[in-house]
Amino acid sequence: MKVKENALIFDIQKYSIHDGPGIRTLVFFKGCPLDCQWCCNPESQNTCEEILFKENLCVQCGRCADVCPYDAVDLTSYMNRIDRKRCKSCGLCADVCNMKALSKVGRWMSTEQVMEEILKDKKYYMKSGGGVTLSGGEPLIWGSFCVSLLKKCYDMNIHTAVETTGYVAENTLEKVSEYVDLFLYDIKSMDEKRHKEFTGVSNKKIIANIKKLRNWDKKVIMRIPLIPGKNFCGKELERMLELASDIGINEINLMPYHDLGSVKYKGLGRKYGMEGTIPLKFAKDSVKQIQAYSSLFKKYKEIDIRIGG
Amino acid sequence: MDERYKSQKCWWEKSDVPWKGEIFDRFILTENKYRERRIQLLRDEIIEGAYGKRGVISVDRARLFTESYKSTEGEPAVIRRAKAHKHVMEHMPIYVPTEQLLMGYPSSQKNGAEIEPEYHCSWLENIVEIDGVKMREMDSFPIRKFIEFHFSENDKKYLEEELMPYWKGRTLHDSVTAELKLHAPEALKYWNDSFTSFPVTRIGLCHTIQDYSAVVKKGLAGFREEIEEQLNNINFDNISDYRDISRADNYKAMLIVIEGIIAYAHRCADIADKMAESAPEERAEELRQMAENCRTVPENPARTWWQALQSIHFVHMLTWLTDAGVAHSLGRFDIYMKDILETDLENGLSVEEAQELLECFMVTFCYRNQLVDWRGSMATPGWHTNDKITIGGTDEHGRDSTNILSNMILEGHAHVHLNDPIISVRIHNNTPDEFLRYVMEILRTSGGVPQIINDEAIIPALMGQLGMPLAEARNYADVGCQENQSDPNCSYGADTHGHQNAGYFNLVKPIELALNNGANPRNGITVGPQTGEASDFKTMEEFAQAVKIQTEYAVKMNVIINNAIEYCFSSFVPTPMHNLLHPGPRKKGEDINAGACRYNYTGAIGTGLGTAADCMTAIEAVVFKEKKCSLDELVQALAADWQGYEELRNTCIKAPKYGTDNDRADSWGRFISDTFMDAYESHPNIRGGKYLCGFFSVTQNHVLGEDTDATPDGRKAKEMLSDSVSPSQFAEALGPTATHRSHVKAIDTKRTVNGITFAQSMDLTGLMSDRELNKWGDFIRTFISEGGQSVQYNVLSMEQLKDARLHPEKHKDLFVRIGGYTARFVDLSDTMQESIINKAIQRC
Repeated sequence: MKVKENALIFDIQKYSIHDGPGIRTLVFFKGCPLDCQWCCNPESQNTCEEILFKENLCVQCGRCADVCPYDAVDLTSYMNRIDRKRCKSCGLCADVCNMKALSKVGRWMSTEQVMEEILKDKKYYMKSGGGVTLSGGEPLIWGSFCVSLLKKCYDMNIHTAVETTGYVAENTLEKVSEYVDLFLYDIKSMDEKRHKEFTGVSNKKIIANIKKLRNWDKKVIMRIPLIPGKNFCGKELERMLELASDIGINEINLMPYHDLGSVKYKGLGRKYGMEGTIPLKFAKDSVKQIQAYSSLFKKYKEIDIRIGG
Repeated sequence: MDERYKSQKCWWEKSDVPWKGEIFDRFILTENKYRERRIQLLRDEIIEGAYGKRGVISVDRARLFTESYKSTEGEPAVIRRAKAHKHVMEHMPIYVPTEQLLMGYPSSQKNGAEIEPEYHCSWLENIVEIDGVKMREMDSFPIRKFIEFHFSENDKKYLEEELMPYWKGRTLHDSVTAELKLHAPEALKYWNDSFTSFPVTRIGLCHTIQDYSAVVKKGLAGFREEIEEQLNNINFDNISDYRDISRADNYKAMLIVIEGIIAYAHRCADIADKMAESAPEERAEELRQMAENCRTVPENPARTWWQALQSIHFVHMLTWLTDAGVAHSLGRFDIYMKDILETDLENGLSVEEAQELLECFMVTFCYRNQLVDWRGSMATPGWHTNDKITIGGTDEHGRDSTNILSNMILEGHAHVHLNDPIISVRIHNNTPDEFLRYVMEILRTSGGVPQIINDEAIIPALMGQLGMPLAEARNYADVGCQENQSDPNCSYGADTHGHQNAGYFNLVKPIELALNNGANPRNGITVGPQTGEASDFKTMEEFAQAVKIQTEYAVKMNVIINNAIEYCFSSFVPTPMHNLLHPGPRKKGEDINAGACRYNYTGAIGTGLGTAADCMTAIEAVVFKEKKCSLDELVQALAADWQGYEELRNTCIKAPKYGTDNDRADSWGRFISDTFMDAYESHPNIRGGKYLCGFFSVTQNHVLGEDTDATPDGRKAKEMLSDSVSPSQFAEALGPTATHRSHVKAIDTKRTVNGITFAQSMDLTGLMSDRELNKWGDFIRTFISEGGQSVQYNVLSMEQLKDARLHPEKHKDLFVRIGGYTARFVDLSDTMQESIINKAIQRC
């Protein structure tokens, strides 16, 4: 089934207005080298197809268990509905599920297929100054696919953005960047040890890469997830702003922590690492909490710091 | 803060809607002004009264009307109508809403619904089954779930013993039935047995734009002079055309109606003067001015803004009271009322006073209540007239014509925030960004109004379909749901009678009939042509051809019925009130139903486009392409309501769906809409015009769904059809660009003069910042340039909706727009509420 030129896409989201200028189509790639504890798209992490279970939609009809060739469905359990060791993600259970409680996450798509979806909204991009944003997961692990897709967009005069963790090989970054108008670049922690603790990887390559992008004169917006108890402190913010200022970044998006993805962990049979952390996004005083750092922000007048994308 | 009505709260003070933005900064009135608190007081009277589930049925209009009819037997129909109208206007008790600045009320009682027996009376005795109990419609009024209508024992007795026996066999509905029995019994049978469409005979003439500006400028005295002059030209000793006698009757009838209107206005004046005697001084002063206004207008030209509004209110509300009907719209109010406003402002009227009077006027649109039958009441509680005000757009030279009054109307709508009047905003390529922004800011306060309509699609449609000159087309306005027509207030003499409701047509029914060889599966009766058994169809093309034949036949039957309805209107219930207020009929002395307006079309309405498109797509994919089952087997599955066919149902549900920007589904949508329009447009109507189409549902998609068996898209029997031109509940939510593009691809908007409604839910949390708002603006502009005809955005947050279900008492001000009209969320049936919440969930 897997064709070499294809990539695993788990969603294509239209009328996206928070990930780059104008009205955009977001293409979500599956698979990520990082393992951030707060990740709100757990279905984006593994580079393979997966079965997602939404318990609130299930009516216990049992048809999924009937068709499963691997005996991987346990109707008695909500938490472990799918035995992940047995499941081969063939998707038969999702096919027969009338309630859409089971779905197969991830679809192998060619650049042509993705392009067809992107082009549908071209008029909306033109009027609004929007375009396409590749997101994930980490889209750039699909390096040659991204290059070919981005080149197609570039040739069609469609504005391109890539949302990246920055944890990618330099030569991939270089090839891709030729066709990218804007990078939305995540910085999670400036402290290598803490970065490793939060995300499973070192931040060295990430920081080196963002500098390279600026050296190549690419437009970069720095995105900082604000995670209470993790990186949401003055020390971290100060170092991040310093970096941004040093390399001439003039826009920063602060992304307050939310837990909207927590339910999906359950549906994938995984444990959510942030259980109990109060979402910053919906806290009544969230703006206040962020404004507490306004004197710090004011030091960097040249940078447009805003909450959200 | 000033003193008067100090304890009165404004609705937005009790709500958490985003009451902010550029237009809000420019508002003329605020909660600190007593003028605004007066409006809120008037508004609360409506919210707590009419919407408070306590309707009153009044028989006063029916009694007076019938009294007159009994005394005029043998006289020409139009004279009898005119005398009955006059009798009503001379004797109808007049209710005066507390603190209102305008006089005139369309019922004898507060929150009253009047009965109009001359159109259809026997429906009150139709038997309905409610929770297993059979009863007459009229007995169901007090036990209705959403709004109870009560009437006194005396009134009920009068209704049963005098009113209904008198009207038996004498109503419009009876005449239509008689005509059809005589000339086209097959159409009558089809009407009763096919459940394809439901032409309307129960209410008066609907969907008009009267020439209000002429009433304001000339006064009825001016009309009287013109009519008398015409009448003087007809000499009874020298008549060579028998129609001249009918013209003379029509002129005389209009003169009788003028007397009635003036009598009503003078009675209002007397009441206001009387009330002034015992009122506190500041109110007494208002009442004395109101009395003077009522003695001046509508008989004479209006001299002030206040009088102009009073004048229009009189003819508008008296149309409700006499001829009745709904969707009597105001046309391009911001254009034709601008001069008198500006003159009065120059003469010293304060802009605050002007705004207060405008809002007093807007409140009056909710004084009208209408009785609907049980089935209708399940879907909609019935408190709406759908009377519109159209603002924005271009002038006849194509230049943007938004002005101070356009903004005042937007402000008025934000403040009044009721379900009527509906505001339509005409958007074109050169609409100023600032104005579009104001519109979006108002939309953000919920309610789905203003409705956005597209000049770039509608003007060419009017020119192409009606041969309208460019200048007149540029002065168009919409009425009712979104039916488009010329506006005689701006293009003088360019009046339209569009008879814009030929009956909601179930677009899914012809597919059902084609699957069952012409038989209606709900009752087993063969009603349509026998287009072949399901097993006979070898290709999708053959099946599509059968659907086309069923559609054409159903349309033909509908046309026959509507022709009979229009003929019976003009012969048995002519409308002197409308004749007086439309320049064509007034001048020619001919009835509006006989074709006296400049533009004459009959408006057909397709309902369930999404479901119909999905049915065709599913049949093509599942039966003919993937060959998962035979068509015969599918028909059996549908007859079993999918019982035992879950697998097949699942496959059908997973077939492509309209509203997801899928080319296959959208092109079947186009097949359905084109087939429907081709069929109607091949027929002339009896006024020398043609049948033109539109696509919307109001809440009829629920009602028509009840009459439809399980369908190939996966829908179960009796479930609702898709709403207006929105996707069905099975369509995956792929965001607004997908739904908007499907709409544009599935419908040729250069043909749909009779309107489109397209409801889209938007999540409030994505529209709060300036940047988000501007992206939305660009989104709307793209839709406009792609040729979309109209759209109404329900800006809602899911939390709000869920809370409203749990605590309806806290959400009395939460309005939503449903396929062509606005309703209070808490008044809707459970299924309606659920479908709205589901749409909101899909979006998140």
